[in-house]
Amino acid sequence: MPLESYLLLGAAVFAIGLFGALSKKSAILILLSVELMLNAVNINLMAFSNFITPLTMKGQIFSIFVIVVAACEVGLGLAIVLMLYRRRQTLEVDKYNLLKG
Amino acid sequence: MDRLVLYTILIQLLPFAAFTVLILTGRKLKFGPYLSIGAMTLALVLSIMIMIKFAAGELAPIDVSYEWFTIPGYDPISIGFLIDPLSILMLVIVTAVSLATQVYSLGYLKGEARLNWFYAAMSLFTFAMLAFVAANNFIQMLIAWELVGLCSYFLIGFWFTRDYVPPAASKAMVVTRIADFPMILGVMILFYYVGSFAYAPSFEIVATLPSGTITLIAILLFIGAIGKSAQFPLHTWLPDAMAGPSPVSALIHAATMVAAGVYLVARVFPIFELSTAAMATVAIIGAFTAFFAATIGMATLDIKRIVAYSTMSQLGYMMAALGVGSITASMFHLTTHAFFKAMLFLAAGAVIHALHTQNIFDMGGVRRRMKLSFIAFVIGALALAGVPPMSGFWSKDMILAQAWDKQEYLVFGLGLFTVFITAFYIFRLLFVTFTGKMSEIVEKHGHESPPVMWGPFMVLAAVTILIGIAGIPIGSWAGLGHWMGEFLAASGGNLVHESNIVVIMSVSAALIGILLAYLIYYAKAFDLMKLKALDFLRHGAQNRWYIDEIYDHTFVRPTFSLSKASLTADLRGVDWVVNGVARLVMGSGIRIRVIQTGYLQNYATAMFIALALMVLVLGFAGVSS
Repeated sequence: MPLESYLLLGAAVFAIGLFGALSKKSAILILLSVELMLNAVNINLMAFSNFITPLTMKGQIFSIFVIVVAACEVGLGLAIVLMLYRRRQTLEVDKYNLLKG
Repeated sequence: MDRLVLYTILIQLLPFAAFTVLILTGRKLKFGPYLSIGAMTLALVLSIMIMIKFAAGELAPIDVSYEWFTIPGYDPISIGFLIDPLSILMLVIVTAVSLATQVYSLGYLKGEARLNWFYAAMSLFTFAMLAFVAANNFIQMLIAWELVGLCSYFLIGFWFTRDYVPPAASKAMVVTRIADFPMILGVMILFYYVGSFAYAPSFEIVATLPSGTITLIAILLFIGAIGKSAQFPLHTWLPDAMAGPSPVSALIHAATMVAAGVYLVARVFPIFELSTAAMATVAIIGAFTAFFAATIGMATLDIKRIVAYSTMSQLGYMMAALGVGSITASMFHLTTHAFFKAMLFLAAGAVIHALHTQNIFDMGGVRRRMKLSFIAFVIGALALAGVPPMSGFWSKDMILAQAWDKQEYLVFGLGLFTVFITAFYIFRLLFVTFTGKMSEIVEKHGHESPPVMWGPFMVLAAVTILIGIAGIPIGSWAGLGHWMGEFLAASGGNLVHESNIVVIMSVSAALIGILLAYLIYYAKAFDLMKLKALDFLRHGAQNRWYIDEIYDHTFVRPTFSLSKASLTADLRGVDWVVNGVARLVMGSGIRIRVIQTGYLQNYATAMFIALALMVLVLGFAGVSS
């Protein structure tokens, strides 16, 4: 399979994630979308790594970093969302508008 | 400090102290007017004392300066006093007339709520006038000059609730202001060449300047005098100034402030003397104003305005006397005029006070109800007309004799003809007002004024007669005119010799005028109204020769139009731009702020779009390079 196929897949996943992050109202769905975007990046990293420097593992190592950071982020993010839900009984982000003038 | 200087300062400070107390205490002070009168009495006594000592030769003229501040490269600016016969004469006139009018005001303005303010303004005016007279430099003179103008404005506007009063007060202010501007310019030019504001050094250095510059300075200063002394063509404010109370007219617009212009020219006479052109201007303007104002006086109906026009006319005589080179004649006429004109105004005020009308044809037969006012008026009218032996005769005759001597026949001719007109119009006023059948108004309201009012004008009448008697040369006494020449010698006064031809001509002119007035208005021998040939003259004079209308069309209305145009330009132009900027910001803000939704996702979208665009643009740019 050529490099382009991987890159197209990565771009497609990133675009889906971006669309989700920008359009969804539910905080959980936005978190999910962000995960998608991170994983799209991971696909790109792996693809470039395999095709350009197949002898080293730079891409894979980076991917592992990204996955770790993503896991941490989701852990924190979900905790925050949970607290928000407890306080406001809603997951819709545009209801969290206490600071709006 | 010299005792004389001390007295001069005291004379000035007494009215100022009265003013300060009155203005600070407001309406509460019960004895306010008496305070002012008391201060004035003291000032008068001091002035007379100095004058007597001067006349006796015990004192010599003094010119002292006290440094005020310095401008590097120039003489220090100082406060100083020039006390010579000229200023001493004025000190006496100002304090005397001021005292008379202030006493008179006790009756005339009885019951006015703002009486203390009136006395405060009168005191301030007297102070300013005294400061003007005693000044020895142009700066002090200008300050006092403006201060008298301001007080004139205050006092004309005393009854400011009457609708015709505020415009009259403003007119007096504006017209004299127009004249003051060239005058200040003249002082500035003088300072540029001389480097000092003091009179004495100025006179020395001016003599070394080219004649054109001297003429320019003299004419510019004279324009200021024209405005203050209501000379043609800046005379229009004086008749309107009659809107003020009668004592104000007597003090400010007859005896003192309007004489300030004459005094100014006499004070800086060394400058005028150097320029024949300036002297000719002074003489012609003076003589013409004398004639011009008298013609209007013939057709005026308002008793105070007639007297006002006669004031203008007599000031013209004084200017003409200066123009032909005689300080003595001018100051002598100023002195006699100050007393008899103040008296005429006070007597006219008494009539107005009783009858509440100013139109002489609404009056008639006032003589029977107001004997004392009538007597005062007769004395005043005789003095004004120049009938011997009243005071006015000697001084007016001296002016004519001087013009005759100097062979200024135009000035002499105008002056002589004006004597005739003057006699005619003042006796027209006298006959119409005081003699004949009593009108309804006189029948109803005519009563003699209280002693506090007739006292002052009877005293002034006595002074008029006394000066007249003192004018008669008997034995070794050569007459008051001659004495005046000697007294003023230290200030540049000259000795004027009487000339019998002139006396005969002027007295006959006056008598013909009186006779004519008698025939028309007393004996009713013929009716002037039937002479249709005179109609255009009568209309012209009644409309003040349309000078006011001409000014109205050439200056006042264009100024108003300009103001209105400026207002429109300001509102529609400048304001539109200024407000437009604000509106633009507001409007665009209202329209643009909708994109600030407050939702993070919208911002993120915008960020993404911008990023995508940047990538696209940079990508293509990268490809093309």
